Amino acid sequence: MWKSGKTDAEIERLLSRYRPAEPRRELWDHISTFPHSQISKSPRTWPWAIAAAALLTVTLGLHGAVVPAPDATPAVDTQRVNAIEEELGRAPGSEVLAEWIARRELRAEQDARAARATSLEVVRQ
Amino acid sequence: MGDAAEADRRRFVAGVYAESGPRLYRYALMILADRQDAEDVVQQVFAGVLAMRKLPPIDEAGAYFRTAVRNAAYSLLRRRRTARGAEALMLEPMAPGCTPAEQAVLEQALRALPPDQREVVHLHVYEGMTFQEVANATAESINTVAARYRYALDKMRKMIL
Repeated sequence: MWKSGKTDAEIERLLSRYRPAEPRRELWDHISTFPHSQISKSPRTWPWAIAAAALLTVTLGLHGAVVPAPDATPAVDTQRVNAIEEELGRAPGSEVLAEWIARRELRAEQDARAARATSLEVVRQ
Repeated sequence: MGDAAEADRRRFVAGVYAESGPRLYRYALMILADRQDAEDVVQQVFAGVLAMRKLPPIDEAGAYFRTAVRNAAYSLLRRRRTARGAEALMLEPMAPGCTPAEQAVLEQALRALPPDQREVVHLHVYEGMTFQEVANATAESINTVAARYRYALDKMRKMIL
């Protein structure tokens, strides 16, 4: 089939006439003087995230076994779950913890909203 | 003892940066299409390793840093809600006869690609990797990699007349 425009080889040739830019010379200086306290995600934190996730899984499992509550929890925001997972360093098991935290946040938000509505009702009366 | 370990770590990280820092920066730049973001990602990865208690095995350092830069770049993309405007140029001319107009068209075509397609173009064209090597580096199937490359070239073809 005839195609208009450049061939693959021509595009590749054009690409190879350029290359992605170099970093600034000072980049290494910035890296080597970067304060450790500002590193948000230390790789050393991941065992704690795993331990926390494992503990949470066991706790939730036990809770589920003892109190078979109907699942009335609203759907969590997957973007928020992703963001929390990110903060936890995406360690194995962090998705469980992230989802749990997101659910807690959502529930707290709903409780606060309900409390606000109740107090408004009281004020009106 | 602590000081010696710290000095060792700095030597190791400085060595990795000297050998592959600019290459990792270019990789991040092609995923992010933003020079400042690419610097931030490289800085984050190298500074993170400087702060680690246990260093990655030296024979796996290249793959380790490449994967870390890739993860950090995509993580930044996820956090970045809106695409940045193109401020600084992403490319540098390497051959005689390159013109600003030609470079502008190529830049525009590359920026129009999704990051994962730009990544495959980078690894295949600029890093000289085979599709199989790209597949290994990105944990994707070779078919996915080949398809991304094909889509990328088709899209660029429409923009580069």
